[in-house]
Amino acid sequence: MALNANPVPPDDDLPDTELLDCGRSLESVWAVHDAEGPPDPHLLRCPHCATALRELHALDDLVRQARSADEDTAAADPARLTARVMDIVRLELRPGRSLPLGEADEDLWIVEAAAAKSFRAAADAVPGVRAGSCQVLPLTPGAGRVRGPVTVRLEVAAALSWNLQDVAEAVRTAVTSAAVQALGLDVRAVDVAVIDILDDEDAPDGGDRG
Amino acid sequence: MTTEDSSSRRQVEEAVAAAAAGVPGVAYLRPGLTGLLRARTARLVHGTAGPEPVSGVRVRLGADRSTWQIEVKLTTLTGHRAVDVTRAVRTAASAAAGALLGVPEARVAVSVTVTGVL
Repeated sequence: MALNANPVPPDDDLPDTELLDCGRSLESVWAVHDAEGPPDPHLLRCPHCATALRELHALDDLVRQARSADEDTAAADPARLTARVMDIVRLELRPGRSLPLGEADEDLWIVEAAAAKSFRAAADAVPGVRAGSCQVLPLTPGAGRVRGPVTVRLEVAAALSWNLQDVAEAVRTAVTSAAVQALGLDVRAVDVAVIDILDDEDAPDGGDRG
Repeated sequence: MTTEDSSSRRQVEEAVAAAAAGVPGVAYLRPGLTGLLRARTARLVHGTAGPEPVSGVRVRLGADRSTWQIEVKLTTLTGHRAVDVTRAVRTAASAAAGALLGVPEARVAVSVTVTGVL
C-alpha cells in the first residue's frame, strides 16, 4: 500500500468540527451561551455567533415539539437548553477525525468512531478478551485530514489464563487483520494496553486461539 | 444561488444518492439528523421555505467553476470491506452525476466517507 505521510491542507468545506465563519466552534458558542457570568462581548457583536444562537433556540423548539408534554417543566430550564439539544446531535458532531481508506491519491475516508467500532469487535472476538476504549490516530500528526498510515491504541480486559504478551499479540493480530480485511485502512502500529482482568466465567475458553 | 441552480443541484444529489444507496454493502446514506434539524431551523429562523436536504450527499461546483465536487457520507454493512464499498460508491456516484450534468467523469470529483459500520 502506498505511503504518503504528507498532510493534506485542511479542506474548509469539509470540516471535522462545526466551525462558524468567525472561527469559533458551534459547541464553544453554545457552551459560552449556557455559562454563568458576564456575556462574552464577541457573542454580542458577531453576526455568525448570533445566527448560531438563534438556530440553537429554534433547534430547542424542535426538540421540545418532538418530546412528550410531560417534559415541559424541564424544558423551561434555560440552563439545560444546550444539554438537551446536544443529547440528540452529539454523535453526529463527534464522529472523530477522518482516516484515509485505500491509496494515498484516493479521496476515500472512514471516521474514527466507525473504524474503532470495527477494531473493538475484532478484539472482542478473541476468546478471553473484552475491548475497551479505542483510538485511531494518524501516524504523522497534522491538521485537518491526513492521508497516511495510522496507529491504533486499544485498551482491553483479558482473562487470567492469558499471558500478557500473548494476549497483546493476539489482539494485535486480530486488529491488523480487521484493518486489512474489513476496512482497507493502513494500520502500521497497534498499541494494546491490558487494563483489567476478566473473571473466569466471562472467558470459558480463554487462550485457545492462536 | 439562483432557484434554477438549486433545483438542478438537488436533482444531481438525488441521482447520486440513489446510485450510492444501490451499491452492495451500503446500509444507508448518512441520516444526517443534525443537517436535517439545521435545515429546518434555517427555515424557522430565516423564513425560507425549501425541500428537505438530500441525506448524505452534497454537490458543489468547485472553486475553478469547472469541476463538480460531490461528497457522499454513508454507513456500511459488516461483512463488506469498507474501502471496496467506497470505491464502488465513487464509481456509481461519478457515473450518475456525469450523466445528469452532461460532463465527462474527469470533471466530477467524488469524496466518500464511511460514517458508520452496521
